[in-house]
Amino acid sequence: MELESIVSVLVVGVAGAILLFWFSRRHQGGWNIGSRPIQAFRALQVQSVKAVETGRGTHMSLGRADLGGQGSPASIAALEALDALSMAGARSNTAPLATVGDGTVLLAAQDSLRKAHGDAGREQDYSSDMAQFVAGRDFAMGYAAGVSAEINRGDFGGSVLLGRFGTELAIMTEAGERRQLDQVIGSDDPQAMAIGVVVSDKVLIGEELFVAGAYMQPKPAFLAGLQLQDVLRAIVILIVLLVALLDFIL
Amino acid sequence: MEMYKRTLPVALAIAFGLLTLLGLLFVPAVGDTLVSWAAFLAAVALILGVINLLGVHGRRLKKGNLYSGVLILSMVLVFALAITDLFGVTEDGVSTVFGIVQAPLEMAMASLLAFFLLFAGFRMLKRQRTPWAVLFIGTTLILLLASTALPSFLSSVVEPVGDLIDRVFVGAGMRGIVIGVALGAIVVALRLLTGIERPYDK
Repeated sequence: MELESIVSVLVVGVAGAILLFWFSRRHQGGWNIGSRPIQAFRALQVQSVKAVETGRGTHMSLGRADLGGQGSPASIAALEALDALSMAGARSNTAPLATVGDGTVLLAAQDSLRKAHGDAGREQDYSSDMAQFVAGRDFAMGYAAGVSAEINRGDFGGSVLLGRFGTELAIMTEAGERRQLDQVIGSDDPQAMAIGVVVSDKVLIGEELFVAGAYMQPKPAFLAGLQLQDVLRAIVILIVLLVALLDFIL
Repeated sequence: MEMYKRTLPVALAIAFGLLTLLGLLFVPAVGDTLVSWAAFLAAVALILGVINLLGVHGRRLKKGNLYSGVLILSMVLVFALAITDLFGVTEDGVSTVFGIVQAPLEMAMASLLAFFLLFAGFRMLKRQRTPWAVLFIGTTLILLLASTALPSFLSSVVEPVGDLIDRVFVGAGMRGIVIGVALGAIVVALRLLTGIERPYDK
């Protein structure tokens, strides 16, 4: 690897880690930062409440990425959202059905659902079938077909599609549309985001997917991450503006 | 006991995370070795995923779901073909089945995407009659027209507009989104590497 790349990674890594610890400490001390409302997260909270009222759970697809590759941040963000939905659902026996496209994410999703049921004192209601492996991550259309079949089969009040998806998202959202489900969509792929915008007005755009934890279960660690993301974004915006200005002047 | 349940997994995760990062930066061989270990674990997890799929559909078959029966039968047949391929009884049996069944089915589904998107576009106009929806449909129409063979007097107008939209607006938007995704991914990675977030600590 080139020297500039190594230095960049180390600078961002060390400075980011220091800021993250500092923000986390401040949040543990009760520091409160306001966060702008995001419609998709609001919709997720409403879905949790509706699930309790109607007794109809939520379908949640965690995408096709694994927990060891380039798509793992998207999978981790989706798992954070699943944690929050599971905790809310387990108390009222309306835990979400999670469909996944990778074995590592399957184990993490089962863990999330098991813990939620344990914390709610309802271990007996947990079943490993609550998280289902649908198709391998290399088979996008197979995954879309499997998820669509699950959406059509179950009695759901809403469908949440968070994680790494491609254009196959259109097939899954069509199934949700036919069942007239409230759909919340978030992906790290710009093509999937474009499809999401057409299908639903509850779409997580760009980096919004990665703050699911901060919005749905505001712990100090998640809030610190949200704040670090804002700081990094501000730095990138400043650099872009500065470079454009210099390019214009020189 | 607390140490084995909480401290040890966190310490191992941070140590291996940092070792992989530093390995990839300074000693690629170390980083590659650790990544290959992770790939091996992912392969084992895939087997667990297949067992999960088999279990779910086995229970559904017992309840009389015939489609689950078809799925299990297909799975058993492909597995049998893989065994016969391995012992030289058949040659490229699994690849042949994929070429005959899986690939055409995936292509057929992919070809339906355009129709799904078209219907989704119409539904969007019905659902949200906002200036943004009109802008979306207008842009789509211009880009579609710009990529079709039009008479020269029309294409001389539509093509530059389509090119401008594609190069300036779409390009800028895509870059913004990709930068945002990259920032989000960096922060998630930092949260894991520092042990502030522990998704494995359930």
